[in-house]
Amino acid sequence: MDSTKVFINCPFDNDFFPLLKCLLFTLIYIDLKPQISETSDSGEARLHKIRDLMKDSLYSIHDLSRVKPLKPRGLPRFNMPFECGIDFGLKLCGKDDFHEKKFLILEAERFRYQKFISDIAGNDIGAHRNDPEQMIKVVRDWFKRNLKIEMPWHKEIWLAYNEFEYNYESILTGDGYDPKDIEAITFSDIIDFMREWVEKYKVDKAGI
Amino acid sequence: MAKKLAAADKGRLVEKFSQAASTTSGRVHVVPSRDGWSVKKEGAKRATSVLPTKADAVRTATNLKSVDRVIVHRKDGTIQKNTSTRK
Repeated sequence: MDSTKVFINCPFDNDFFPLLKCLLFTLIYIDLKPQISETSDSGEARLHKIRDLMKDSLYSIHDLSRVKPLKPRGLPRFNMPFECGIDFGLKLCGKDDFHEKKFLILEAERFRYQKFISDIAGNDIGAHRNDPEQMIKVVRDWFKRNLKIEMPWHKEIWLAYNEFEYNYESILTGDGYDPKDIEAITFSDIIDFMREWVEKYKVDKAGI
Repeated sequence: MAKKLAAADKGRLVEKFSQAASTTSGRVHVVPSRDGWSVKKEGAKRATSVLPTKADAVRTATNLKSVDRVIVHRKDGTIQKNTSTRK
């Protein structure tokens, strides 16, 4: 397992996109490597790719904030708790060093998960309240506690993120892409743009 | 599912992000934060000031020395307003 890799299990839609971008940006800013599955394969092939990402990542972030009915009397989205369950299975299987895996479970409200997945009680649960700045704080603070290293304050990351967002909107719009569309470019492209931007920003601008 | 950028496009865009992150500009950002409205000059690590209202923050940002543009952000970081301060 790679101690710099973080597997991300979250909704992929335009509503969640601002929160996801903040999450990716925070991980990159604190020198970690987000791992996201972007395969369009269905069934077993997709699950194998997800399992491989999980096996390679010491850390996982599972966002369960959108486990709610898609429409009144409809069914919720089960992909996130399903993938979270696979990751727990890996951690508890007794093989290799998977028992060392560490999970941060994200929710919109602090104790909402207890209504539908109480088995995860006792794990690290963070509430982002659907607020991008709070997302940065929850993720940054959790890694600060786990990594026990010097780390920028959440506000420094939030302010840097806003500056990045200005560049993100300007550059993508200028090139004919819709910056608010989660499907405009791939996550691996977004991650590469963020990594390049953060690297330059820290050295050239903020003098970090 | 998004289509991966062609290598040439990707390289060009990466270069744009790289330049954007290292170019010093006269922009100042007004950002909603937990403690109020932060006014931050581009590239600075910290906010110049934190004001209780957006109006106060925009006024402070506009009056800073050598500022060309004031960028006001929404709560999700996206751009609400991009105004030139040149008269």
